[in-house]
Amino acid sequence: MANTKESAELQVFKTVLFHCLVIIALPVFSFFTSKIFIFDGLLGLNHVPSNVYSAGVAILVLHIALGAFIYRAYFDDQSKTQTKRD
Amino acid sequence: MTQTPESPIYAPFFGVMGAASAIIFSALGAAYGTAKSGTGIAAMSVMRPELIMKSIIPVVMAGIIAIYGLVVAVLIAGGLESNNYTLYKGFVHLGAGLAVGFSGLAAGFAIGIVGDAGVRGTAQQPRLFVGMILILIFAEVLGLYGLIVAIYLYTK
Repeated sequence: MANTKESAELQVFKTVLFHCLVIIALPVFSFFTSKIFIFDGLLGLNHVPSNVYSAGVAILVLHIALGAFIYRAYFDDQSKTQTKRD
Repeated sequence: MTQTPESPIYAPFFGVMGAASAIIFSALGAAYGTAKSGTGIAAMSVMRPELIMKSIIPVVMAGIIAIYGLVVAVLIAGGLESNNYTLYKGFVHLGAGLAVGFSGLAAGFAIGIVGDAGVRGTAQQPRLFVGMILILIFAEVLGLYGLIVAIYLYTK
């Protein structure tokens, strides 16, 4: 019983850690990759538009990651409490 | 360094202050939001530890406010240059930094207060969770408006 509880807690910790890392790292990563490879390299834009577009990409990625976290938190916990009740 | 009436020696001061105020005030709001909702989570999860995953959301949203400030600060810092940096550009960058900074401060305060009360309430009544998320999203959007205005100013 204690083992399953501990492993469930570890699972929750892993999920939260994964999502936090994604939310913190992915926007920064996508900002620089989209700036260097897509907007500067592939499309050859100027200084200001490439910065602005890559900022937009970073914000978009950030909100997708946040939405994924909220979705996970809402639906994972609900199914867990339901199985507990059964 | 070429100096003209349009690009005086002190023009970059305003741009640098814009970049600094963007991240300073956003981080101030994010720190307040994290701390205030963190006390709520700590008080709530003593009795209901299974709700920690759900109640982390205000903390994450407060962190996102700081990312808005970081993005604008990086944009402004990339736009700074030692040559031909006009006073107009400096003022625009200062305005962009203040726009995202103070919007982030306001959004962080809102997220902190709502997150604290919402997390404590969710422990008593789980159906409050949806309402808390909606209120948090509307608080978050205040910071996003500041970011949009800042980016719009930056492209001027």
